[in-house]
Amino acid sequence: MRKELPLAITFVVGLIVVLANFLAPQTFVKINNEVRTWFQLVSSLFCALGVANLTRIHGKKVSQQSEGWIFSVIMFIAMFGFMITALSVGQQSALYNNLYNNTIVPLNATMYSILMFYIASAAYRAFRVRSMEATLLLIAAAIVMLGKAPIGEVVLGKWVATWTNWILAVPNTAGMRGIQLGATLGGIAMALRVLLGIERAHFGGVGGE
Amino acid sequence: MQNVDRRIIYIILIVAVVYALIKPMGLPVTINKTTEDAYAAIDALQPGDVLVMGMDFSAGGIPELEPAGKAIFYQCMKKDVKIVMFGMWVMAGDMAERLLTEMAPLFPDKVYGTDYINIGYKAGGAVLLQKAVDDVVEAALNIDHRGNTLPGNFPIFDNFKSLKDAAFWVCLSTGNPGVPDWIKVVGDPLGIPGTIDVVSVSIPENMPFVDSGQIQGIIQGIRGSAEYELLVSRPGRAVAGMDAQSLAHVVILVFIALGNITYLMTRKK
Amino acid sequence: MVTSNAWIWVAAFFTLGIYTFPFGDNPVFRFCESCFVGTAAGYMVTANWFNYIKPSLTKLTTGENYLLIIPFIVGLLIYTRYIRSISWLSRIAIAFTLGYGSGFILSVDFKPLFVTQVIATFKDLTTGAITPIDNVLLVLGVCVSMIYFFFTVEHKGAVGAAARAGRWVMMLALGAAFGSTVMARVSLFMGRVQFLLTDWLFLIK
Repeated sequence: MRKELPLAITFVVGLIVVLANFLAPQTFVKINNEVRTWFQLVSSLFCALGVANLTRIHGKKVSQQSEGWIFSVIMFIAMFGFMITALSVGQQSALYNNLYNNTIVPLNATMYSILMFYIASAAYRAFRVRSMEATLLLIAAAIVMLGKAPIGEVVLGKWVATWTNWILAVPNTAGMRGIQLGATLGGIAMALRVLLGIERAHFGGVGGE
Repeated sequence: MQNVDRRIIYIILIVAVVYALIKPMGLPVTINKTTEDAYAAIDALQPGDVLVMGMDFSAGGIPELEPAGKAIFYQCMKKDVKIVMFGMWVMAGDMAERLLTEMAPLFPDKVYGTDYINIGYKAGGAVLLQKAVDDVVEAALNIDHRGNTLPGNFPIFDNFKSLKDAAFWVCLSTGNPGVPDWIKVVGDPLGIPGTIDVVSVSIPENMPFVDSGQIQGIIQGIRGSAEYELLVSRPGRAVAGMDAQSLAHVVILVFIALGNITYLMTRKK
Repeated sequence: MVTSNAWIWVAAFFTLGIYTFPFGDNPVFRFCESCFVGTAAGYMVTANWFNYIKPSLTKLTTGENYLLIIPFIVGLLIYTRYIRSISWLSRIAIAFTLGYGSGFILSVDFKPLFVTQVIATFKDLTTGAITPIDNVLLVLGVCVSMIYFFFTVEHKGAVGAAARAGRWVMMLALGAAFGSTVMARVSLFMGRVQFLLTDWLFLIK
């Protein structure tokens, strides 16, 4: 029951979607329209998983007063403080907009932007022309970097932009298309495996089975 | 030379970017054909047409995508093309509000709900798009980002009942869900033309869609946004940042070159 | 001169606080990091609540769609993973979403992401986007890069040569990807510096 029920649900729901899209008998289309709304709601309800996990992990840290527990307290204040404030004042209030634009946005954007430093230092330390392939990679990267920044055309001439466009339009498109074709087939194969219950790894780790 | 302290690299990069922003060099930005194609496709829209804008990005995409989003909004309002904004990403609604806060006051004669509307984020990814292909208001759960009931008295929904009624779509995307979902649910099956505005890191993986004609041009990251700002004659933050971008690229390439020259010299010995 | 807007000062503090990290881990960064994690998790909940869960709950409670009780129950079952005795019930929620997602992929992905792309590879071999040989190179490039990833046949002889050519095509593609990634990260940083110099310090317009 614990194994069979989820597998059966996976198969039945997937079958409804496939039949509604391919054969399109009216009954399945109507059922699919309803199940589609259910899918959206179910995936939306997963939103609190992050809060739940963080509460469990950091709650333990705070109760045991492990190393850095004070930052866990700060995390809780930020998390529940934001949630309570937003839920109280609503999305249209000036307070929510100020909170969003001056906490969420700068924190989110800045956290991603520190990657610039690491990509620069990693490129300096590790990007070596040890082989023909590495040289090709470096040449392509250099041309694209110079072609995409105005200084490349100004200092070196129009050919930089032309070669950048060529690299993106020809070898890059060829390589990425090859990857995409393979990835699409792989995705379809995986979807079929999940639907037929051959792939069960996603059920692991819960229920003790 | 092979072991320069990484903090020196960081400081040089910071100084280069700050200097170029405070004292811009005024390097000319030429327009790429792919950006021109995207601009021309939107410019070909007629007054009254509806353009659907997929706000599928988070705060990390603001510097690269928001300038082009604003430029497209400006272009559409000038041409009396209506805009419906929504997205598969959780920040879609708030990103649209940021854009509207700055751009809507430039067009006091344009009315929310008549000329543009922010439906906001709705769950489901590509399934949301599929639902919107059948009925946009139902996909929106009869509510927009501002809490207004839909369709309400909003005239924009008089001739726009589903995504099939859209004349064009633009996907502003920082990742997944994003461009492939718009193509596979809206562009390809319905034949509705569209274009994309993606962060630079996503340019290579989306070029096959440009080549296959599944999208009309592509606005390529911050460079594409700068080009689009110039095309609508409204240079903004993207154009202003191009000099800093140039200097930072040069600094990184210089360090890569230094590292390799030292490596090759050491290898010779 | 600097802004008098307290909210901008908050944003500037968070921005500068996170930028201390590349120079070494420190309590200011950890404070900002904790705020980032907390607000991001909280935002996820509030955005979903306002935009999807609350409207759905309204539809359920007003009688517009009583069937919505089913996804509400299924969706909430995911949280049983935290209760050991009934944690197997969370598989139902996972099964439902994966089942729908798998069916969706099977129904929708093949034509636009595979067939159309294959058709687009059949090109006029006498012309090209930029040079006259571009289409030839594109077709050959797609073929050799697919051969490179084909591991069921040993990469020897003609197949080996094609696979090696595929590697070169992939190196050019990955070089373009690296250059684009550098551009993306620099522009992210530049965006934050623009905020500091424009909105906080008023040093640029």
